[in-house]
Amino acid sequence: MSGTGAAYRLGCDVGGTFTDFVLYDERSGAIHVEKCLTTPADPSVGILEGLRAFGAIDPEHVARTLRIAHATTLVANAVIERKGARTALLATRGFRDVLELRRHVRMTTYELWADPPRPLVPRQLRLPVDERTYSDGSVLRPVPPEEIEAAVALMRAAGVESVAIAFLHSYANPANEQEAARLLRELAPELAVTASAEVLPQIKEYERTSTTVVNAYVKPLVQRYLGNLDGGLARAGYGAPLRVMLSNGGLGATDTAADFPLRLIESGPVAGAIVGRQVAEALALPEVLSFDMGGTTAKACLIRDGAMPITDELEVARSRRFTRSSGFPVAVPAVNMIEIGAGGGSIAGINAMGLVQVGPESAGADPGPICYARGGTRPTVTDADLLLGYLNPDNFAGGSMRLDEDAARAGIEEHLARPRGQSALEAAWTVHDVVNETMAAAVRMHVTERGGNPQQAVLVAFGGAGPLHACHLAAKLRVGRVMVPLRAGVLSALGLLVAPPAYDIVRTHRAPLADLDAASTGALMQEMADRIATLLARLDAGGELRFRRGIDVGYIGQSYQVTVPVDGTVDREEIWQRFAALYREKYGYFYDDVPAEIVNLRVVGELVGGELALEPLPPGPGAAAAGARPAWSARERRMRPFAVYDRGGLHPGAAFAGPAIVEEPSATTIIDEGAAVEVDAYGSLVITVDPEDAP
Amino acid sequence: MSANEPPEALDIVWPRLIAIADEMATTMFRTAFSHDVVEVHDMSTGLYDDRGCLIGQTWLGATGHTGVMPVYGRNLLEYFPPETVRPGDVFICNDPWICNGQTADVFITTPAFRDGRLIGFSINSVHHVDIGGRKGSGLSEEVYEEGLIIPPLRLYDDGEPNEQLFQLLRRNVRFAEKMIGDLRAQVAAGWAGSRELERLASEFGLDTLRGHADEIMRRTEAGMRAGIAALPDGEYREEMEMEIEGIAEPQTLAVTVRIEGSDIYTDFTGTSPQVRRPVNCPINYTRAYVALPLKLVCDPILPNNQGTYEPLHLSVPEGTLLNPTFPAACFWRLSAGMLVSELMFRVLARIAPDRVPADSGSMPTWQFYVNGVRPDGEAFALHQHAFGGMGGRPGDDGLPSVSFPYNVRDVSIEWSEMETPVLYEARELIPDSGGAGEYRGGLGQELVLKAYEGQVGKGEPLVLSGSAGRMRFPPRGLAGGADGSFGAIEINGTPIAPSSSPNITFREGDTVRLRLPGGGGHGDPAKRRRERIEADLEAGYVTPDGARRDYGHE
Repeated sequence: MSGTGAAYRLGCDVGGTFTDFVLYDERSGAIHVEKCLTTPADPSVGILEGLRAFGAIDPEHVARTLRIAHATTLVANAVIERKGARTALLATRGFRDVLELRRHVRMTTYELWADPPRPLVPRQLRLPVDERTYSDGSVLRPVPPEEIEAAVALMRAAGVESVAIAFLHSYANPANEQEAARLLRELAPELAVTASAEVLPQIKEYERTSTTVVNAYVKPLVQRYLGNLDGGLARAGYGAPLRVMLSNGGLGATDTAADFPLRLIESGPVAGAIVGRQVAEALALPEVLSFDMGGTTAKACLIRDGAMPITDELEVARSRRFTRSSGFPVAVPAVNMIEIGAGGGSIAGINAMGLVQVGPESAGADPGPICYARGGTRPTVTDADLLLGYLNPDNFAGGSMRLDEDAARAGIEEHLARPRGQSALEAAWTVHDVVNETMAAAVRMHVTERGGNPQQAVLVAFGGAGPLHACHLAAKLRVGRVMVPLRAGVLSALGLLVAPPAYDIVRTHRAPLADLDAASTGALMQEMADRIATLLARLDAGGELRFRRGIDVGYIGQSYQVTVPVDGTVDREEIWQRFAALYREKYGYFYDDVPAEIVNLRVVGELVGGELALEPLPPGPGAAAAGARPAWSARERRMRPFAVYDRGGLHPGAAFAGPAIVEEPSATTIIDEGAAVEVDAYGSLVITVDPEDAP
Repeated sequence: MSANEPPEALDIVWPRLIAIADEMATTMFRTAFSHDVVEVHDMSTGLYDDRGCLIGQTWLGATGHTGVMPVYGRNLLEYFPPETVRPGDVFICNDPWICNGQTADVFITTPAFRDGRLIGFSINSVHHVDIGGRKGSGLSEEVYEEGLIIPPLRLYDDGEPNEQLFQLLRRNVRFAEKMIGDLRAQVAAGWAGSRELERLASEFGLDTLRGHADEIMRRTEAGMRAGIAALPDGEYREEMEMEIEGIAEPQTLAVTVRIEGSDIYTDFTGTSPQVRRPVNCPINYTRAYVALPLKLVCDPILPNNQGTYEPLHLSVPEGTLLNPTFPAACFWRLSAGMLVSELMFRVLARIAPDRVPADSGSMPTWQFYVNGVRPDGEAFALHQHAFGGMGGRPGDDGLPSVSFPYNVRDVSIEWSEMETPVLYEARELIPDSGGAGEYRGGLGQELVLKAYEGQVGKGEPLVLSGSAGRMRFPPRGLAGGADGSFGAIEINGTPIAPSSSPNITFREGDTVRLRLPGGGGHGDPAKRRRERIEADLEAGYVTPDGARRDYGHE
């Protein structure tokens, strides 16, 4: 029921199969969710069609929509399905095969047929140009115009639509790339052009070339698509500007997205991490481990001091899912999160080691777990959770669906329990425990890569399966506190609506710290900030523009650096001190006697305002269990009664102890023995896990 | 627990052991100084039980290190009996006959305890940026020239660093800060690994890891044995020749492989005597490269651990290229050592033809240094890897220029040019270098190097030294496929004499060209599908002349 005062934020997330819509009323806090099939040929068709459903909720919603945010897997899918443009690459003569040689590494050591994906540009369209820049930026050979002319003729004959330019050392001096781009635009204005120094002004030729080629490959497609969507929304009467979710967790303007479509690669998955960060900010938690577990994947992200962790090591179109070095590196800044094939629908089986393995194969939504009774025959995490008493067969998805417990038991018996000589319950516990272990291993690695340990963090759990697995996962990670926000099951959809407009630029600028020219470094960073301000100005979004600046510092000779925050002016001594402190915090030691250098400059600009505001709820009566049912106790290793609470009846101030189950329409929270729950002012369950009780 | 029941929570413990090793590796990538660790991944990590049995290992390591760890654990306990091992100890060793066949590879082990009782060790190994000696010279005649040899010693004793040893190291190596920095990174990773092992034991209430270790090894061994048992019993002999710097006659590597049920016996009788050049391959490294092709063919899926090696029996006459005696030079032992894998592949091709490629130009890897000085007299050292093509595979072409069966990465050219004044003119595939076949050999690559004008000391030479091969005996085709191209090194267009440890001098203005061999072809070229030939022509993997000559394609 939306009154006349409604003010909406509209989000739409285009996935491979479904497009999800969420309409959020800023005034009342009401959330409406809709879903329709994605129209892959032109997803804007499906979006415009699907949006009509909101007419039933509020016929005036079009006029009352103030913001539209959009996430899409279009870019990643276009690369995976190789549906991008016919693309050519201009490369420094002698180095056109860099794209194909990758780093010469194979993705698995012991397999003969584990091949990487074929390059997006075939060799005949990788065109050498006799130009050269050296590592100090000096131009050894300028671009010969006649070679660009010849390349244009060749590309036209081959039907090329888009060109990547990736010359050696262009991060140090982009002049040759710029000249080639200028000539191309002059000679062949119909070609989409991507120059590597514009996309990723960073050292390492393979990673930069790969990134540039991916951008070029998807550019025409994304430009067409965003144009259609923008036009369609305008025709439908929406006056609010369309913004697009970028991989860095910020919203960008459509023309930024059209120029740098590779910034959309992680557009869909980052939403959950944004929610984690918003919760951290709203509740002033210094460290949050955001944990979002759904039907096919789990995502986690460690957020410190309210800043999204950023990685430059993304890969797209992996020929083997979840395996490193099997895809194309896309080295632009993206939220550093783990995504693993572990969800409610993940299939459990016995692997070559004779061990229970869960995922990455998933039964998805169709046929889904055995207990959905839609034709699924192989046991999944959801089937195991049902047998363990963690899910209520009569109250799943708000009671909209009955789960078939007998079928789930039969499946687990047949595929797991009998071959292993275990009871069905023991086998179900093994499945639950193994999927938690798989996630815990990935989280530990995620934390190791960044230094430090996860034990200080609060694990914020959401997604359909997140709250069910959260406490057992926390125990494995020795995390003491778990928080389950209200509406946990649908929370990640909100991520899109609460993300701030943001853009970031990273630039290689290498110099020994000892002779750092603070003034010129500061000027360079100001230039980057100005560029970001220009890009964000396209959004016309209002809000306060805030910058975060950082410099990647490492010991001379090390390949990895620590990002040292820089506030105000660049100061050599301060950078050294902060580097020392951060390094010690991450790795436990520091060398006073080894010289350091700066490698990359980073600037992030963000328009602040419009975040998710958690509303305190009125306190109510204390917690009263609605009933009890038997569920598996990890500590006692047997079924025992768990008190069952209805989330709707839990008010701020309520407190109770495990073993307990909290049910809400979109999610179930399991609180094992030894853990204690308090409901905070915002209705979140705050669970103190007994960290000694690792299952 | 009954006899047949698996030990407590094996479903969790086994993957955790591997995950701990992966975490150690990741920590090292983040904290190490040497490019060989961070960029190239020339390292490995793992965990032992208290008997020194390897029970978990990272998936991320280089194959020499990974293959040597099983035997190293046993060696370690001979030098440091369990009752002498205390919390706070850290052990170091790089002796090529105990470790990885080369002084640059340093092994660090750290014990783990539960309630004061030894339960196991973490282990990690790294190829160091320098270990002293003649900077990877291709001319070394004895191991003494190849840097400091560190026998099994305590680097930390009861928690205290062995400062005398640190001082000795610092005084003996170039780029000492980097070397010591990497050593510290190894120690830190070792502590992290042991701490996680201790936590694992406490989480599951384990007083010993032996129960889990035995089951892990039993299952892994069973997987290997099943793969070996599926091969026909019999005896197979293979020989190949390698060219050695300064020795006119090519030298022989020979193996007789006998398969008997689920055991495999390898006998290297017939292999040439050790030489006074750094290509001798100490037995640990030989064993690693016998095991690797076996694992690829018999059981590519199971993790690597002690069990992998149980069905494998090795006999190598002492004093030969593949089991040299101290003090043989061995810095570039991969020149001979990787050819051991080629010999094994040739044997396996006869008995498991559906799973084995033709000869690969990627064996051996060409790993090399370029040493020189800048105008101000400061020394620089470039370290790079180059790779030939994989052999054609039954059912598909070989991969172009790839680290096979080794699995490491190159050093970025931009990074290399930023660090050293060696200018690259090309790193490119060589058309027609893959052997013709129904399934073509992967192409080799060409690297062209020069001194960057004005950045090298006036008149000072640059010295390129490293491993190489296949300059006289190209990668062979299989099942009717043609040979891959020869390897070659040219200075200003003039080829050097065939060598497996080239040591060449060049100056500003000279052009050095490394031409890496292509893989052998697989199957009769006449059977190659027309579409494949045409696609090759279009891409330029094959030239029109090559297509005419090799496939009769007009």
